[in-house]
Order: sequence, then structure tokens, then C-alpha cells
Amino acid sequence: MQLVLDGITKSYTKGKKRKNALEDFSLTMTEGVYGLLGPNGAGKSTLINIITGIISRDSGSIAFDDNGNSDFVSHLGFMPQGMDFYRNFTAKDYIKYIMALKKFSTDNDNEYALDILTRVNLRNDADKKIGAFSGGMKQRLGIAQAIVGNPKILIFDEPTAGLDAKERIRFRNVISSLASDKIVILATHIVTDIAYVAKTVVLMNEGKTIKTGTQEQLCSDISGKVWECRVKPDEVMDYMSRMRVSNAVSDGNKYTLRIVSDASPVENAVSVAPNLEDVCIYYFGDM
Amino acid sequence: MRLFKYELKKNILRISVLLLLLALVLVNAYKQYETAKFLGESGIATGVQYKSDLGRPMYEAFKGELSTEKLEEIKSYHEKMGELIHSGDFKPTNESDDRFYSGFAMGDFNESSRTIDRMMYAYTYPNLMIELKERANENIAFYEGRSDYEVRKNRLVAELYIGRKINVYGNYGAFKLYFDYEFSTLVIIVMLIYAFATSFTNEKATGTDRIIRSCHRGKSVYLTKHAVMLLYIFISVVLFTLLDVVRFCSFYDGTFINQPLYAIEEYKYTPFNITILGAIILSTFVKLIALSFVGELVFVISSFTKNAGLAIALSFASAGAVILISERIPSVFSPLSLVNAESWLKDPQFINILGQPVLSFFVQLIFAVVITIALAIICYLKTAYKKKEKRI
Repeated sequence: MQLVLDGITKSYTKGKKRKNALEDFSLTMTEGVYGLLGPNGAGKSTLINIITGIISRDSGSIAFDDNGNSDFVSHLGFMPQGMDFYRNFTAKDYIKYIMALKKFSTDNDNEYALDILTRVNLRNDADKKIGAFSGGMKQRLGIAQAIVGNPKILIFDEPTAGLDAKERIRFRNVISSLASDKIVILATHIVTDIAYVAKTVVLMNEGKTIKTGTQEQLCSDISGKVWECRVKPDEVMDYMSRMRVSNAVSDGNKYTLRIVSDASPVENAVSVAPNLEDVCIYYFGDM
Repeated sequence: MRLFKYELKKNILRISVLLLLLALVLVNAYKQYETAKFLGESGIATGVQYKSDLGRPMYEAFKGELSTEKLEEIKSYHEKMGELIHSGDFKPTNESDDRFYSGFAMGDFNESSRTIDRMMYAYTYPNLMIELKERANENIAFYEGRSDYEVRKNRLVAELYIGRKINVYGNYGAFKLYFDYEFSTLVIIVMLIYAFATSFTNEKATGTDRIIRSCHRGKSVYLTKHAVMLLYIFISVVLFTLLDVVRFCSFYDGTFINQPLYAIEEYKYTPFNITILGAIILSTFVKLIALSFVGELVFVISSFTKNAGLAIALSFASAGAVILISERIPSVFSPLSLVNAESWLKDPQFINILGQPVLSFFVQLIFAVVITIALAIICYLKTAYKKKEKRI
């Protein structure tokens, strides 16, 4: 199974100016999680809207192939950014509504809806009104509606916004469990969402692809460009204003700064192994 | 069908909507009573106050098939009551006297006077039509060679009233009240706005619109929403029509619903040669179109905003503005004024279209349909239309 995006371009006219929201985006995806990482306005949502058919593209093509089947629209599960629900629906009602939208039915729709809710740990809340759900429960319901009909392609747009740490971990675990036989596209500006689950990371900024690769590849690309050094507390702000500081930890007397820089920032700086956050800091500065 | 069920649940089957509906039905019932009471007491209603009025026994004795004998009988009775009152040979008392229909000589005198007036209207109606036809013929003669349009219009008028007569004496207060009554339409509009103003808004606010588009079901959802809205309008219009007719008939008399519309004195010049029942059905149908216009207006507003409160406020403001504007522009350009059946049922008003006289009602109806379709198209473009993609 593969989804091939080739030369996708989309531009908007704002006033008299024409702005490229997405420029010549190309990527071939197979089973696994793909993380689209970039600051707000990087073009992630535009790309997702184009793949889902919500907006049209100016140019480029999208091709899907799953053993000769090229119709990816019927194999698409989507959780939009900032998703909310009808408060007077129960979780089960909502899943059945999505089944109706997807023209998907089984011999026992009720049982199917319960099965779907079980997968996101909401079975016991199936008959509760969504109005009474917490943010985390709503997010899980959002995942549940996306997997209705067992789609081959799953797309999540900023899925963990507003979630606490526990719910984020739960979300990542659900995504991992789904990814074995699907293409999962995860767009976010939260690095840790992707760090644990994505097999391929696409760094995007201002509508362009900055870098694509596995986490290891991206990290090795900036190998030797991440440093740690110890500085006095009154020097911290100075370093932060001059350099790309990805972390600052105090041990009481001094601070250990993690700095992303092509050259050693200070004499006593020690080169350390980069992580995905460092990669983001390297390419995007502050996100 | 599954989508229909869920759209119904999203828009109408909500506790707040159902509670508001119940409250408004009760308010409407009170308003019906107040309207009937007010019109009855002030003597505006045609005919007797059927249930409570002292004139009921006399009405019961004379209602039905109209005849010269009946007319003579009531005239003679009226004279008799007049003489009795003049002679002073009756005892004004608070106690009812079995010799009189109402129990009182003065009551019978007044009631018989009103009965004679109403019977005379029915009895002399054909003469009125003959006069009208003669006037139309005179106009034709006058405009011959001066204005082809006026000639055509008067020919139409002359033909319109041919063969009209009223065979029955009855009380039509219930139907006059029904055609005048607008409160139930206001209730339907309030419900329409409350239930549907957030229809598209909620989808945008929840992100469901994006899921719908990703499933390529924008058109289906658009059509389903419209089906639900039209069903709501149909059911509520039919329901409130039945409630209004039955309630007003309970105050007055609904027996003569199959009589011609012009049997109601206020509708003597109606351009429609239909029965009262036919007029009720026609006005119900026309109301469906006028309210569909309101429904589409609400949908368009709903499709332009993400904020539910704003959508409801804008919808109410727009409906109010449409009502205000309706009063200040020619009625043909006012789809909403069609809900007031009295405005187009009572008198024939013609419009000159390419030299041909056309009932302004038909033009107004066509305009309402066109503008409703235009609004539906705007809503479609905003919610369901997807531009063809350019591919390389």
C-alpha cells in the first residue's frame, strides 16, 4: 500500500499578495506513522486539507495504491484540528452518525459502534451524552470516529492540543496500535507527539518541506551541532537571546544549557547527541 | 435515511427545541382565545359568538339553506320585536323569558337585526356581482382604444365574478379569524430560527464540516438538512393550521367550511373561486413557500458564521428586517408577506406584465420561489460545492 503525493502546490491570495501555503510538496508514504512537524502556518493543515479533499490543490497529484485499489477517499479516516461534538449526542450515536456519513454499515451497527469505542477505552461511556465528556474523552472519541470503517489512511491534525500528559500518552499508544497496517499522518507542532511514534518525520516551514527522514537520520544530520555548557544564572538570559537554547536546567548554583549551534558556543561546551527537539530548534528556531 | 435521522436529532430533537415548541404552543392557545374573545366582544367578527353568546339559539334556528321564507321570517320577527319594544309591552328583567330566542326582547331585536344584515349579504350577493360586472363592462367601453391593458384587466374582472352566489346562511367568524390570525406563523418562524440557525454553524464550530467534506458527503448533508428543514416547516404549518382552524371553529361554527370563500363578507371580492376549505389548503401551501424562504435565509446566515449565538441573533435580526422591509416595499417583492393570507385572498390586485394583467399574488409567489432557490444556491456554494481541482 502506498500514498504518493507529487508536487502538491497551493497558494492563496491575500489582498493583492499571493502567498504559497504549500509549495511543491512530494512524499511517498507506506504503512506507518508520518509526522508532519512545523510551526503554525507551516502548511501542515493545508496539506491535510488537500489530501482529505476539503480544499483543492493548484497543482500536483495524489495517487493511492492498495493492491490495485486506487480509491483512497473511501479509505480515509480524519480527525480535524480543534474537533468538537454535538453535546446532545451520545458517544454511540456519534459513531453511528459517522458510519452514516461514511456510508458504512454492518449487520449490527450498535455492536460495531461499541467495538470502536472499546478500542479507545470509551465503551463504558458509550451511552453518555458527549456534553458531559472531558477533553481527553472527546479526543479519544475523535480518534474513534476516524477509525470507523477501518480506513487505510488515518489523518490527525493537531490531535493532542489541550490534552494533559496522561491523555497524550494514551493517544500515542492508540496511534501506535493502529499503525501496523495503515498510513497514519500526524500533523502537530508538539515534538513529543511524534518523537515516540513516527517512523518518518517531515519538517515543514512556510509551505515548504525543509527535511524528510527518520528521526535517526534527522538527528544525525545535525550531529556535532548540539552542545551543553554550564553557565552562571545571570548569564542565562544573555545566552537565550543570542543562541538557540533548547533546554536549560538549574542545579542550584549553575545552569546547564543545551544549545543548538553550528560551532561550539563557548570554550567549555561539550558536544552531545541531538534529539528531535534539537532538530526542530535547529531548523525552525523557536516554534 | 440514516443521515436524515441524525440531522433530525441535531436540529429538532433537542430538549431546548422541544421545550420551546411546547411553550409556544401553549402561548399560541392563549393567544387564539384572546383573539377570538377580543374580536367577539368588539363586534368585529362576522356573525354571532357561537358558543357563549345569547344569539346562539337564533343562529341555530336560522342557519343553513338560505331561502326567501327564512329571510321574511326573520324580518317579520325583527319587526315584531321592534313593535314590542316600542309598545313597552315587555318586562325588562334579569330573568330569561322563554318566549324569546335569547331570553330577552331587546337581545332578540339586536340579534335579528344582525342576522338580517348577514342574510341580506348572502341573498343580495349575486346582485353585487352583477353590478361589478356592469362596472367592469363600462370600464371596458371607456378604455377601448385608450389602454389595452385596462381593457384586458376589466375583462378578467368581469369574467372572475360570473355565476357567483351564496346558498347558505352561516357563521364564518372562525374562518375570518383564521385568515387574519398571524401569531402561529410567528411561532413557526421563531422555532425555525431557533432550531436551524445553528445547523451549519455547529458543523463548522465542531469541525464536523471537515469530516463531511473528507467523506465527500457535503451534497448529501446539504440535501438532508434541507429535507429536515422542509419537513419541519411542513409539519409545523399543517399542525398549526389544524390547531388554529379547530380552535377557532370551537369558538364559532365550522359547519360551513365547504361554502365558497366569498361567503365571508370581508372576502366578497376575492379573486379565488374556491371554497373556504380550498382557501385554507391554498394558504397553507403558500405559507410553506413563504416559510421556506425564511428557512433558506436562516441557512445562508448559518453557513456564514461559526458562532451559534451570532447565527441565532443575526437570523432573528434578519427576519425582523425582512418583516419591516415587507411593510415598506411592494408586496410582490416581499415573500414573507405571503404568510398573511388575508393580504392576497381578499382583493384582486393585478400587475401589468408585458401588457397582460396578472394577479399580483402569482407574481409574488414566483418571486418568492425564485429568491428561495437563489438563497439555496448561495447556501450550497458555501457549504457543499467543491471546486474542480486543477491537476498536472
